[in-house]
Amino acid sequence: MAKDGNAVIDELATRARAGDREAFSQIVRLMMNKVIALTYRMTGEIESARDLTQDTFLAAYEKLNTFRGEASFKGWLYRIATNKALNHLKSASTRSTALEDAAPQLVAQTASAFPDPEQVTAGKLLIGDILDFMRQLPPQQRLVFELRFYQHMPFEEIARTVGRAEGTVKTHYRQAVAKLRRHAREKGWRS
Amino acid sequence: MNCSDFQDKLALYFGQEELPESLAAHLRQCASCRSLWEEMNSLARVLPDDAAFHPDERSTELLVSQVENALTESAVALPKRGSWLQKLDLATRWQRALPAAAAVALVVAVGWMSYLSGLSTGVDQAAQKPTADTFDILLADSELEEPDSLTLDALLEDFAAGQHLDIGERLLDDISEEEFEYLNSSFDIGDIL
Repeated sequence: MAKDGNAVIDELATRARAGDREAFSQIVRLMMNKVIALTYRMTGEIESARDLTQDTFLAAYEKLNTFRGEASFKGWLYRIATNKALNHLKSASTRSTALEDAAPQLVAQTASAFPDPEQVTAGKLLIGDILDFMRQLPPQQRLVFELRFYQHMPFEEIARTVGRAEGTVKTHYRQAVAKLRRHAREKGWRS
Repeated sequence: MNCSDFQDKLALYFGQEELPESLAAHLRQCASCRSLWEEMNSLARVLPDDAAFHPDERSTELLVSQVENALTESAVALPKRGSWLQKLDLATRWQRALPAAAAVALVVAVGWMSYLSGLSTGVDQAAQKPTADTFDILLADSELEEPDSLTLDALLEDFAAGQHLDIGERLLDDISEEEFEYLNSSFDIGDIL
């Protein structure tokens, strides 16, 4: 039977903890788009998402020995990413990054290769619409909405990931959904 | 289960494909709640999915290369798990983090007391907000424990934003969901959180 995504990542993480650098590289390749999409939705900014994603993988590698395997490696990685995104939201100033210093051409290339917030996809809202909505949510509600709706995490795992009680996390999600429904009515979103 | 209870629980399954049987059974019997669930499903379907936020393939490769280069340049060596060197490192980190932890505990205590004081006296709580400098120092120290300092960071974030009332959420973490809902409906805590 084929292993699910979490099992594959967990196995790679076990190998990486044992010193297998190639295993960590595979994790980076498998998780790059998931982490960058998460940080993009959390911050609403392409450049910040790119920087936070790089910081996330570097921190994960550096702290690999602190991963105890009690939860999924993917959840642990998301915890680092969301922690960094929350810290970023807390600060109004944008951090300078080694990436921009080292490779300005890469910044331009990657920024232009992200989906256009105004790009139309049949049957779907614009990604700019959902980014606008998520920007209106308080950080903790935004975080829980991200982990539940986009990462499909059970509330129990979200609670462990964000370090809050499960009841608190559920309340955040209810409030985010209520705001989304209200926002949809105001904007006249139709399926 | 009445419709109010159902709709309260239904929001938790927004974006999920399947409902627990207890909720599905109510849906089969209640046209009004079924209509609400269909409306929520329609909304979930029009939201852009995760892949819509991914960069294109070439850009992903560039980003992967960039991380690989950064890893190589940083020359981070994976510590051997359980080695005496690692234990020494962790012990040192704990010692370095202790003053920050003590400071945070003090700030939490003072913040919570000022919240209680504000409730009883009506004093403007914003006037009691700790200074930005204090938090800069604490935040810098708190990064010693990253990523396990998520809760600490969130707490400091709330303080830095002057949201003293959010401290109550940490205390509410230990109560049951039913108790939380009662407080939520009685005191409008939801808006505070």
